[in-house]
Amino acid sequence: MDELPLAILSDILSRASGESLLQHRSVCRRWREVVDDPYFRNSLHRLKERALLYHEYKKEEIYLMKIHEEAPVAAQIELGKFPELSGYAIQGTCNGLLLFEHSTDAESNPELLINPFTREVLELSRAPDLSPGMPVYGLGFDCTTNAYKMVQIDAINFDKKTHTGTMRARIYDFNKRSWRTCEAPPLPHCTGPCHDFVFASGALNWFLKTNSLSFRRLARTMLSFDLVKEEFSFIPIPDDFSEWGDFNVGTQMQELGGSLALVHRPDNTHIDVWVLRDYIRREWTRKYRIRLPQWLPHDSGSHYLVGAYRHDKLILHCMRNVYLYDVNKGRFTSCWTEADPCYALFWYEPLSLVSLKYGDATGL
Amino acid sequence: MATSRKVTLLSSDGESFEVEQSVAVESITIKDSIEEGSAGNPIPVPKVNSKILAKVIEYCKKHVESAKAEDRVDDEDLVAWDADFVKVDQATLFDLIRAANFLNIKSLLDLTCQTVADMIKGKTPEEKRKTFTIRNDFTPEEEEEVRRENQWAFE
Repeated sequence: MDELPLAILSDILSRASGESLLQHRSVCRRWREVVDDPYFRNSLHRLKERALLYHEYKKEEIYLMKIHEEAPVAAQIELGKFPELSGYAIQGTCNGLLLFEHSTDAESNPELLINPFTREVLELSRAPDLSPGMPVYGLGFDCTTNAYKMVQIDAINFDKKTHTGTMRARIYDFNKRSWRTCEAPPLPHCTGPCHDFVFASGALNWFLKTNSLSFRRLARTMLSFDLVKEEFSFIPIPDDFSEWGDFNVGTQMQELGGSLALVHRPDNTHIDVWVLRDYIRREWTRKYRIRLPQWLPHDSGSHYLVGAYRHDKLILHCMRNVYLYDVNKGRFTSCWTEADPCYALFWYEPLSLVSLKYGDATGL
Repeated sequence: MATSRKVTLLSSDGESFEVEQSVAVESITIKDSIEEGSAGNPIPVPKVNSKILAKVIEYCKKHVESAKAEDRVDDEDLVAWDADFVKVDQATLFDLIRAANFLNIKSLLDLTCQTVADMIKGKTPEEKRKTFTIRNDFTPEEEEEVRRENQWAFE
């Protein structure tokens, strides 16, 4: 074993799953060296294995929730404490990396990129001459060049009274550590992207808000940025989406198995999950229709689709509870009951070993 | 019917093996040297002794045959054959890995590496060390630090 060339040892160890890989580090120095090698880690950021993460807004900890399908309660394991997160809100995730923006003072505080599995926090560089007001971000992964890209949308010459300005978009290149301008999103008058992004279907996606006088409503199209082509376009939401109650509440964008998904409330007893089956042709398909049992609250704001778990199950969050919903049996199983009713955040992310340290071989 | 070409491979310990060229070129290393015209006759295979070379040839023969077979050999049968093929002692397994690497036979390298990976699966660090007779060269402090860094992965 000791005589095996490093490249072969690398090959053998890489066949382990995320957690086992980390366990390999404690066997001997050579194995640790292999697992810690940046090139080794970076080639693994497409690990299929996912982990359920839990974080309470305003708190320092990020936890790993281990779901036991047999046992009724998930195990809550602390991944680490992140005091840097104080005052920050999540914008979105990509391949297990979490992007945060300061919620009140984005001007004086840098954006943060966190890998909760390696416990690394990276302060992101700012684009030059940032406009006042809060820029909108997106972090995605270009699989053709194996590069992470961050997109920033802001509005120059923004007029607060009329809510208009000229949209501008820039891309951050993690390899060159520099910003460059790309085509601006062709937004209709008085429409702006929401802050939260979802990276799915190879693109960055944002809901659009129409500004009408005093309140904002969700538009019936979403803004999308193809990360490979570096082009903006629009994705119309399915025609079937009625506006029961308030389309703004209960409609959620999510990434399911790599594709863009929309969660919608057609009425007060069902939750529909639509998946963008074909990104180019903009074809949506209603993949799941979930019937809510009597004992679950029916109001729109309570339910949150976290992700698609294995074996045809969906992870749903509702107030204090996390459920596994069996798609075939139509059954809810509770797996955790201690989520914070107001501030709980869940992410179902690939286990990332990408290193965020800048250096000769940065993971980004 | 064209006569099938044969080549002779010479192991590191001087034993000759005559094989069909179609079998020999499962090894990209050998294929390249034949195409470049730099292969001697017999083709020397340094670093691979006769015991291992015989096994490698057996593997290549089987895989070339099953690709050619009139009634295609069931994938399942081939997988079962492969599984049996790697039921060898550890030393032989690692020798096969080194040979597959040197001779550039991707499928054999894949098979043998996966076999070792399967041997590691589910074992504690101490068990892994035992299985492969690896010396724990961490100082107690280092060991503690490494464990702490990924505490959650052990729970």
